[in-house]
Amino acid sequence: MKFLPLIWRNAVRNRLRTFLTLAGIAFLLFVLIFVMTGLSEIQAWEGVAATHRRVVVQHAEGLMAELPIELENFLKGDIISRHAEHVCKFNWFGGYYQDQKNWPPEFAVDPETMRVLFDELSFSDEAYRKFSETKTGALVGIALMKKYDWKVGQRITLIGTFYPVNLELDIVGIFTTKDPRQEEQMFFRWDYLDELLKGRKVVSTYWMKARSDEDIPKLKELIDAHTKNSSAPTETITEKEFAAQFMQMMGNIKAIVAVIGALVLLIMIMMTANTMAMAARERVTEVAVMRTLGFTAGQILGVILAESILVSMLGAALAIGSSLLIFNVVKLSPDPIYFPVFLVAPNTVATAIGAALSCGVMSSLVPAIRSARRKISDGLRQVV
Amino acid sequence: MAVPLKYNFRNLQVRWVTSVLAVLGIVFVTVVFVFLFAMGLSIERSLVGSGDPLNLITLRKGTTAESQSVVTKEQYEDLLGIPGLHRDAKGEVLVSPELVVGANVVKKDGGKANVAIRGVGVKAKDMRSEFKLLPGGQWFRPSVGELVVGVGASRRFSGLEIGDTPRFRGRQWKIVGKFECGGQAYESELWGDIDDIKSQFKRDYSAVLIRCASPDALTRLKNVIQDGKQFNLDARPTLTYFSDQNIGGKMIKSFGFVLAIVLGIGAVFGAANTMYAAVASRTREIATMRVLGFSRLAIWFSFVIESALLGFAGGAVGAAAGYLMFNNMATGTVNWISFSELAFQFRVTPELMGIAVILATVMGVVGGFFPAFRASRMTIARALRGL
Repeated sequence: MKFLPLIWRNAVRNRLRTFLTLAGIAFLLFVLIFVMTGLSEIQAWEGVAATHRRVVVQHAEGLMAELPIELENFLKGDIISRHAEHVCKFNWFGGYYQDQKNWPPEFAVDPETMRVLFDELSFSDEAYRKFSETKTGALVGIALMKKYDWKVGQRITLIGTFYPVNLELDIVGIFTTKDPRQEEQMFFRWDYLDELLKGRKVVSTYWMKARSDEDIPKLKELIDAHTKNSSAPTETITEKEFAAQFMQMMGNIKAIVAVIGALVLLIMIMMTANTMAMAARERVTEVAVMRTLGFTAGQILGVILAESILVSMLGAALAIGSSLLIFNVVKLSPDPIYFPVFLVAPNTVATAIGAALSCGVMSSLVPAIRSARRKISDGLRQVV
Repeated sequence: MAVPLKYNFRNLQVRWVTSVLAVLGIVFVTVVFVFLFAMGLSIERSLVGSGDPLNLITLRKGTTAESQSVVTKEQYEDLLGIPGLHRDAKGEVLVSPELVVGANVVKKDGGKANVAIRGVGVKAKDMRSEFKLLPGGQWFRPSVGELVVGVGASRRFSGLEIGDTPRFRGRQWKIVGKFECGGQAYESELWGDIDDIKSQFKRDYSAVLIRCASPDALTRLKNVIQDGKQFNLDARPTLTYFSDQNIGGKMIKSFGFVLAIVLGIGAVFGAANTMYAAVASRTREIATMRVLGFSRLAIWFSFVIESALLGFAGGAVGAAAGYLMFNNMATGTVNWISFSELAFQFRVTPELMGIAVILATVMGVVGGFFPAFRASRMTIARALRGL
């Protein structure tokens, strides 16, 4: 700790250089935080999905294919109900509100089972009663209500693109959840969608809750075996796997973000290493004098490392502070349609700090070791 | 008189560690830029320019993708009834009812994605001037479940080569041919007989493609269908239809642009640091040059050039590395409009590499601008006295 003033003095000795390094690190780390936040937002659903023990039955050939309504009886029957409960039809509607810029995620569900199945949603008994009584009822997330300035009791029209019908929905209640992404969603009734589709009984997926974790593999086996030779073979997966398949569709985003992140870290290290090498070169004589005064090689090493870490951390503080301000406080999103929520996660902040720390260490290791190892006589002899 | 370039080269050479570190920073920025832009441009290339300038596509009102659209047999017949449709040499109208469905297939790099399966009639090939069936395969025969595969889909998915027998909707299909279509989005699809696909997937047509005689005729026909209440269909040129789907390409390009700018600013700080150090360590040298008669401007210019050389070197190495790493890489992403996989190949074009090198050089120039200014402002007396 007593070396702190020395480290600080060293860091601010060449203010311009330190400022340039610090600013460079801040910009580069900002990019790292940005791409990582994009990735964590894409993966957010996968993260929360794992906690719910929900199981999804979809057509083995993907979401474009429909499941027969007869399957519902089997899923609610004795064989399956030993392992799962609360079977709920679940269709993504894919309609827009007023303008093709607004795509609130809308899902058609069964009112009887949705409340227990999606027990992370909290809404009043009154709202649920109305939802059960009103065929055109909709339960809307609080963030969505704010976004479009909707009021309970209001009638809204959603223009269908995926289905050839438009929904005329009455907002009967608001729900809140812990996850801000879910608060951007809305639910309406599957039987209303079916009425509009003239009773074609289009089911895109069935959702249910496994009674225990051990029941999940059994459900997969039982359901998929039952439908194997039918016209609609199914694939029974967990909600987490269901979420992951959207990520897979987009391509190898994880790898892309990893590559960009690694390159950004390398650029940071190059830049800081350059600064530290310059600083060390200028201070050769000085270090030799300090050694004659009794500073040990280890202390010299520590002082140089600490200076580099200090500069990196200050850069990190700038990058983290500004990204938190831009994304978490002002709530700016790079693309409101694909990222209705764009929040820097604690993990991302931790990674940024880790990156800055490793940048500080890696960039100064070589110059620090060289300075510490140099013979005093050589150092004193060197003319800068 | 200008300071000779040789002076700058020698300087970079003498302080090679610093030079290499500064160049490497710019190399990595260039690689990121080349990567993101190659991806954005490659997606764009497979969508923008897809379709034929003389083809009109009709879809259910309000839809933007064939996979969501339903056109009934009656609507198709209404379209056939439009007077004055363009005819081919044999006197047949060039109208192709088509059906696009999808099925999950395993990708070569793991995971599943939705491949578009297009049911077409006999006219479909003739209405796509770039369509070419590759040697070694043949066109499908109707009603026996044969398919032809686009080169993009075949590269992207496993089990979609000639002779493979994938299963879709409870039926075994056989792939008998492979086609190219000028790099267009169709290359990401499987094609089969329209009646086969219709009966197996239990769907109506999803779109009707109409060939027009001229661009004027296309506009006229578009208006006739669009305004005709009896059709209840949307009509648009196929070129527009595909370019409207280029959401991913646009997004990655704007994303890449912002990233490149912010990364570039970071790299500029690094370059400026290097150049300030270069100026500081050469104080006496600069003064000597002034004494020899080089003007302030010449010295300023010399330092900017040196920094530009750093940037240029970084850009050239980065662009070359980007080319070696990413060119021809086959990959794909979801087309959110059609909800099916769009297979594409990375193309690192000479233009992209050129722009990357220019950007890197600009980074060098900007980074060297102020340090060079400091160098040129030094007074001779003070500079000679310095250290």
